[in-house]
Amino acid sequence: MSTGTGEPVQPCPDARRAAFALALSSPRSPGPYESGTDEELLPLVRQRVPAASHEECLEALATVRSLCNSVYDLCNEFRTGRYGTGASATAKAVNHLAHTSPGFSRREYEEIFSAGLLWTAF
Amino acid sequence: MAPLRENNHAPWLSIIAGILILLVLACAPVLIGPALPSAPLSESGTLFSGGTAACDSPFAPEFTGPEEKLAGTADPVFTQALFREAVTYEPLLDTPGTQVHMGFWSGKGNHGSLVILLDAVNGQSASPGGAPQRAIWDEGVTTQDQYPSYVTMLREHWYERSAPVNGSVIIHGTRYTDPAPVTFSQADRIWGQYSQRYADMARLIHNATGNPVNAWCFVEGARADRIFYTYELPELRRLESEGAVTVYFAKTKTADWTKPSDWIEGTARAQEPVVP
Repeated sequence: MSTGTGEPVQPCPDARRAAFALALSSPRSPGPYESGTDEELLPLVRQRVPAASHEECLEALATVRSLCNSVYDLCNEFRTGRYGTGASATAKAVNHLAHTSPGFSRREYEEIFSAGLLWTAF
Repeated sequence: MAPLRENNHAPWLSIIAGILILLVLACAPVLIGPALPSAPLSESGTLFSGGTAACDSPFAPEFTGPEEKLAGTADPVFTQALFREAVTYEPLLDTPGTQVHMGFWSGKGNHGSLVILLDAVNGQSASPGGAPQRAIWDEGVTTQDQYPSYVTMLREHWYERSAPVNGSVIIHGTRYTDPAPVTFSQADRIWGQYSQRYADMARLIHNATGNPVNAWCFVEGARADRIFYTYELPELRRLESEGAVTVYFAKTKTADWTKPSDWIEGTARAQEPVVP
């Protein structure tokens, strides 16, 4: 994502956190991201982080949307046993997510991975 | 909240204020989560830091033992309890003549489609002289009003507890040591049995209303080894054979419940699942 001048948008941690919280606001699916476009979700992030710019909020939404898609795929693969079984499997899967979708904290990866197991259960 | 005075108070006030601030910080991750109705707390877990869970809030996790939950959700009594909860919110579900719709979903993107259908049914104006129509799903009697049993399922955090890292689980951003560890397979079975009991409600609703329940299924792209195909569909087939439900499968994620051409009727014509 870039600004109107073509400069890449620097991630805004607060906007990222707000966009991340949105993904977990519906326990059974990344609801807002399933039913709304980034532009439609923009006011929800701007409301929580008024100091963030329009571009920073859009960058955060796009990044979290991409993370949700990765989590869906990862959890589907986890369910096939691709990462093995037991506690080490969880750690492997979370590590893989952190590697392929950088920009979040360890806790956020662990939290959204658990959420993804519920999203994909049904 | 009034600001704390910084001067002219005894040292113990600072200590109490400090404790209060720490409690608020500890509770913050759960307090900002989605609002859930209150339910009784069972055994509390232990915070990773070594202290016990101090947040006796409606958002605090419940660490129910998995075997206890598996036994509870396997029992048909669970269905009766769920039905009573539903009727408490919506008495029309237990009223002769009501046309009840039950929603089912599986797979990426389909949860949102079902939300739209439920809101469409429940938001329509009743036609003069027509039967009242209500749409429910496994979460509650509308997309807003949740069954207490569903709220409990969420507060039990089965999947968070099935994925511990270094011996602790993360729930709403807080680390806990789980006093009743859960395996991934148990988490799947618990949610599966819960969903099966939900489907069973169709029998009670059919008996109460006299009308077969319309079961609307958004399962495009769903996988064969997930809850819909392993728990709910077999139950829907039984209910269909009893005449308790009429089952419809959405042809697309944008299927409109008022347009018959958007749907496939009958489990015999159910969409083939994706085989992993």
